[in-house]
Amino acid sequence: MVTVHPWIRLMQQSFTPTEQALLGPYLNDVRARIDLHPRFIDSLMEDHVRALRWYADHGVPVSDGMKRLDPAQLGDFYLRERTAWYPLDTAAKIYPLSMGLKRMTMYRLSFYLKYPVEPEILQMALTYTIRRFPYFATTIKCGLFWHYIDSAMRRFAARPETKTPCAPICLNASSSPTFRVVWYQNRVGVEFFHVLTDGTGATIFLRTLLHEYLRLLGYDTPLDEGIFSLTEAPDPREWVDDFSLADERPAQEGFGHQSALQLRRVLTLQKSSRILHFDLPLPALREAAKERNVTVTTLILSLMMLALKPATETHGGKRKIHIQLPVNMRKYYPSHTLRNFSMYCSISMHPRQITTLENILPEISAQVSRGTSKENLDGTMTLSSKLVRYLRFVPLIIKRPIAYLLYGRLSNGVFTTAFSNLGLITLPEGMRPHVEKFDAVLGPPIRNRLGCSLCSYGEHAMFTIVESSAFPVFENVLYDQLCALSLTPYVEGTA
Amino acid sequence: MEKTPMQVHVTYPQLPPHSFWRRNRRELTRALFAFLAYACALVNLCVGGIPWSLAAIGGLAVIWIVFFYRPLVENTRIKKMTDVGAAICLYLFMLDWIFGVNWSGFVALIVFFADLIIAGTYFLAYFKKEKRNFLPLFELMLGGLVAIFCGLVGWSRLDWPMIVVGSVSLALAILTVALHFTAIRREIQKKIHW
Repeated sequence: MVTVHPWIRLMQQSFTPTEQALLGPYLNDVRARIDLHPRFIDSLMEDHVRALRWYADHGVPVSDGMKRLDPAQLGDFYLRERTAWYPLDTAAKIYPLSMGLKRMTMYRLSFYLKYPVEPEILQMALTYTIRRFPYFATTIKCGLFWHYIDSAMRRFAARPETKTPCAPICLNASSSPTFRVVWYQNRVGVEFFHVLTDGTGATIFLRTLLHEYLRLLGYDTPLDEGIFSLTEAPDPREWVDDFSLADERPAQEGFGHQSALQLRRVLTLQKSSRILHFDLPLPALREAAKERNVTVTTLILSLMMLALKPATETHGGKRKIHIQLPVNMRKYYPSHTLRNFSMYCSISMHPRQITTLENILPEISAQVSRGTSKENLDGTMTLSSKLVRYLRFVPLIIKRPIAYLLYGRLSNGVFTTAFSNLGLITLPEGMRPHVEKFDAVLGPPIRNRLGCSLCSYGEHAMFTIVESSAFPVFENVLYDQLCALSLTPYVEGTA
Repeated sequence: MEKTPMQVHVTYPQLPPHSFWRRNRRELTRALFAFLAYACALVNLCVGGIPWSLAAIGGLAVIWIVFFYRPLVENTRIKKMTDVGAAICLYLFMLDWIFGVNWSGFVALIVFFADLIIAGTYFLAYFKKEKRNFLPLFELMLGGLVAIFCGLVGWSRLDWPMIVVGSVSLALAILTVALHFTAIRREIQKKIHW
């Protein structure tokens, strides 16, 4: 008995016999460029048929649709076995060691379109975009001493959003992807396991995906900085571990800061329990920072300190509120890498020191300048590199349980929360009319009850709070503080 | 200035409702196993006698590994086979130590080489699919070679199961290299990098 492939059946159901005759050679060409597991072949072929149907339904002639979905764009990405593998960068080594069933260092970057997402086109955009990022088209594997990422021969899927943002990703199959693309209404989010890349790499991937999505919709715009051309071959500098660039310097303080005050209330079983986006007017926020002669980061950190004071454990003792502040090292080194290349510093204050905004701004500003200085960050990078060097011959089987036990204590225990400012995301002029805003969501922390991020685009500054406790003091106080500065946010989030 | 209360506009989908039991089934199963293990240890401590609770706890561990344990990375058939084999071998050694029956050195090695033969045959039969998942088998083979080395230099008893373990390990290593030299060299480079 001859088996009819599901994509052939779909084509027969979706197109008239005349159209089918036109599509036959095209689909044969596509099929000839795919040599994967039969499950993935069927899915990829169905993606093409669905996208062509979408074009036909939206008044695009089949011939035009086939031109936009030119099979040559697949290259041999889905055909030839890719054997490339990538050792984890220095910062990424800890993430697979410390992950658990319900804890994984994920983060999400999303763009919001001005109209609903077209899933069929998004899927095709992802199918083409991933080819330019071979180090993202990977799966995590175990080595004798370290984990590494290995090329995964599979289809990468864009799925409707059905889980909490940054939910752990299933990594244990032979070619499990280490990122996911999800869509909901007008939002497209890419959730990365931190082993792959940091915020900079994620932003480039997201913008390239967005550019390709718009191109497939018929809005072809010239490329801009931070958007990769899909016809270019990937540059090997994009997957280099640039931690080796750091100037060696002794660290002023190790990783083991004094343990930090934590937010009150117990952690919820479901992580993360709530996500809130404060949509702030960017020009007004900049103006408020400028009036006080500080940066936006410093202003937000100060407001966070004020909001954390009533939300943290009962005061007393020497423990302080510590906010982890990641810093992009690309501003100090000429790096082209899309792998992790960021370090962090700690901004801390004792609750007794936290009085009014105007009083704490100078201290926070001084700490930010000190903490984000090249000398300080070089010290932390040197320490990280040394730690990796010392541990390199310890078998994974020994390192893993130790790292799992220590990570929560050393990484989250010494911070009250984290604040990651991804900065301003820019787009070429032709893409701007289609995009409303961007946001960034940090994955739920292990011991902290809170994680915060800021991401700006156009007139919007999206401050995002990820909570793992049902105790709404922080966001309520922060909201009041912002209102007092005439920065009343439009609040969005989970129910 | 009049304060406006914070109003949250929901922009995320309603998650499908799952019961507490379904959401936390892994943790609950783990807690049940831990409870049984502690209970055995406690009863054994109270009633005294031979440490039979260790045998019970070991049995629970073997059941856990066979039926419930799923590695976070590389949850493959080879990994399952080698994990189960290793767990049974260790359990046999423990039973021997507890009850002093003195046959574990013999039986455990038979289990060991049986495991090697099954996992090795599967690996070679499905090499294209499984070549990236060979680390657990590599570790098992290394264990077999170390065992025969210990027997040959007189550090442990050299009996026929030990000789079979060593021979099967060596044969597997030679076969893999002979049949798939380039591919296996590349995989070894990946697995053993620092």
